[in-house]
Amino acid sequence: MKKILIIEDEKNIIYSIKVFLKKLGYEVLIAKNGIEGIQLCEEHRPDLILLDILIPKMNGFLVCETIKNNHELMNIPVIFMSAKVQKDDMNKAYKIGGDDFLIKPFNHEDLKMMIKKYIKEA
Amino acid sequence: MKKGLKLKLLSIFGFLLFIIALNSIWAIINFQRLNNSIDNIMKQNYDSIVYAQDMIYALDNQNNLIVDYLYVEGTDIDTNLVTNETNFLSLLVLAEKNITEDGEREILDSIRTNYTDYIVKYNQLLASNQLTSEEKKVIYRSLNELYHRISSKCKDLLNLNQQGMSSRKNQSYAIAQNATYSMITISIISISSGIIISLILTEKITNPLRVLIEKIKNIAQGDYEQELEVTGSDEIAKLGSEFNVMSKKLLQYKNLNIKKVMAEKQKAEAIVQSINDGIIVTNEDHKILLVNHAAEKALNVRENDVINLHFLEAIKNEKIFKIIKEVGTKSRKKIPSKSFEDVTINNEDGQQDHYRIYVKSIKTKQEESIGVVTLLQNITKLKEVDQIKSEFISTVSHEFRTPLTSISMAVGLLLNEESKELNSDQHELLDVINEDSKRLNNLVTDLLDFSKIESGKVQMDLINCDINKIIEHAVKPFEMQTKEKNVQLIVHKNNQLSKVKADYNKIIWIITNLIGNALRYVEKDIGIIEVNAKQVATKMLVSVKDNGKGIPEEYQDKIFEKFIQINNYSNKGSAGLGLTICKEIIKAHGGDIWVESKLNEGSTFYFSLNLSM
Repeated sequence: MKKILIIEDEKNIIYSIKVFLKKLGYEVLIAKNGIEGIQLCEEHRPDLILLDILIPKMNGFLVCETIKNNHELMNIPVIFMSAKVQKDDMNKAYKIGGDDFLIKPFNHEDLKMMIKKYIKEA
Repeated sequence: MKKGLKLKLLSIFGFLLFIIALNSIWAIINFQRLNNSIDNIMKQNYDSIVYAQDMIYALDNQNNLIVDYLYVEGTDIDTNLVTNETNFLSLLVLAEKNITEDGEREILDSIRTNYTDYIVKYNQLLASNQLTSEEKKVIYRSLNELYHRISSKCKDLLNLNQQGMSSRKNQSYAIAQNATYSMITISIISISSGIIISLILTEKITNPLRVLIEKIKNIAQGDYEQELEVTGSDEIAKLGSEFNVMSKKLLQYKNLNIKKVMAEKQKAEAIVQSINDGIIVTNEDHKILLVNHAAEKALNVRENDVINLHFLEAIKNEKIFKIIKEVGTKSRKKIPSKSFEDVTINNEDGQQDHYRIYVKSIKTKQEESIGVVTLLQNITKLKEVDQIKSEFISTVSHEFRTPLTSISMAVGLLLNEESKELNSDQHELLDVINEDSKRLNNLVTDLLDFSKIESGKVQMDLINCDINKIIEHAVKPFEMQTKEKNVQLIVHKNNQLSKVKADYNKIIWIITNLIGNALRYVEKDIGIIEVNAKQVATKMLVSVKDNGKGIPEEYQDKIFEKFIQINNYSNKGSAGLGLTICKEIIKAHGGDIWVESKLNEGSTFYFSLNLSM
């Protein structure tokens, strides 16, 4: 079973994504802040990370940078989810190794397409 | 009128006539005196001379007769002797009656005495017939002696009168001389005094007139403070006092007018100065005529320092000057007529103030431009409020996104589930939620797009592109919708140069937006939408025309403002930002966007783009 890590502090988002992803047949890991997210990532080696930018303790960019600088973790696709969609933010996200960008608000279809893009089913 | 001008003139002439009369009288008197003196000579001396001569003649005759009687034989006593005697005596009497000279009486007395003796002697002689020659000789001797004596006395009388005549002649001469001199003297005196008095009197008359002329000249030159000194009571004095009344009234009138004009001017100035918006008035040469307090403050200048200076020289704000220049020289060409422009000016404290500049040219009735009024409306506060509003919108929109995400996720999941646990009503309700969450989504996207563009965070990607291609691209998505509504969508391409400098995608977005609006307001089956691109001067003018219901005039300016929705033109799900975003984009292109519309006839939206060089 493929594992997806959600790093997000908004519980309703977490919940709706979790329900959807479980339905699609993924194992879902949840971190409510950046530090926890990195810990979970190191522990479980997820197949995909959904990363919010504005999260407590360590923001999304830093989390992404940390993961991408880790040789063991750098191949995990990181998809940013944010309402912050200014060009600078997008550029920064790609520059530090982010793989893609989901602009809030998105719906389940957008999310599904994005996941399918990075997780090839066996 | 006791002492009129007439009387004055008459007195001058009268005086002159009086002098002439005096002269004439004096002349007559002199003539009379001269005449009298000549008459005197005639009477007093000439007569006496004649008497003396005749007396000598008579005496001579008598004597001759006596000599003849004595010494010529046979001679008788002649009767002539008696005649001569009578003559002599009568002459003597006449001479005695005409005594004029000193000593004349003595001479005449002696003549009478001697002549009496003479008569006695020769009568003795005549009385004695027989006389010897010796006796005769004695008598004759005494007679002869008497004769000589009388004769010499007569000659004395003659001489005396001749002398008197001569002295009288001299006297007459002296009188004539005196008359001449006195006439000359009097003439000189009278002529000179006449001249002097005439001069004085005419001076008296003309001097006030001269003063009056001088004062009238001054009045003509605008100096109304003229007063004449009025003396006397003649016509000129009266003229003078009337003149004083006139000049006083003129002065009052002038003061009254000046006061009125000044009051009006002060009122107008006070109004202009007290207006909170800055006002600058420039003439057709862009020289500054007026700067009010608010403008002084805004531009950090002082009116007194900049008046009559060229706008750029005084205010050094090229952006404002450009607007003024445009308005001042505006032709009637169909180039966008912007009603205002916003500029930013650094104030004294180094902070930025924002001003909305309205420029209006002042025209005469003949439509000639005589200057430009520039109004500077301080919109700094508005901008600040606007900024806060924009930030608020941006924040709120952002905050909307996260809950919207979970809503749409949740709804999507539920709908996707095809759960048998949901009945059809529940399914429909979920559909409603889903639809509105999508709409909310779009709204938030619009708001964010707008706040990005407004805050200048979106850079225009200006490239040289073909306007015909942009239109083609923009029109394509409408094929279906126009067919559905059965309306015509006509595209007039620009045949000439069609290259413009623009952000390709954003212009497509604008045209799409405009066509979308048009489509919304045209009626089914009869609607016509025309898209047109035309080159006007250095601009490309793009228009989207519809025959929909039109836009009420009071909304035509406002529709480009934020969140404006026209009553009865409800467009559910629109934030009213479409045209505002269009405007922001066009502004970033350096172009203009405006609308021309008539109710129930349709609207035409225009926007202009710069041609690519």
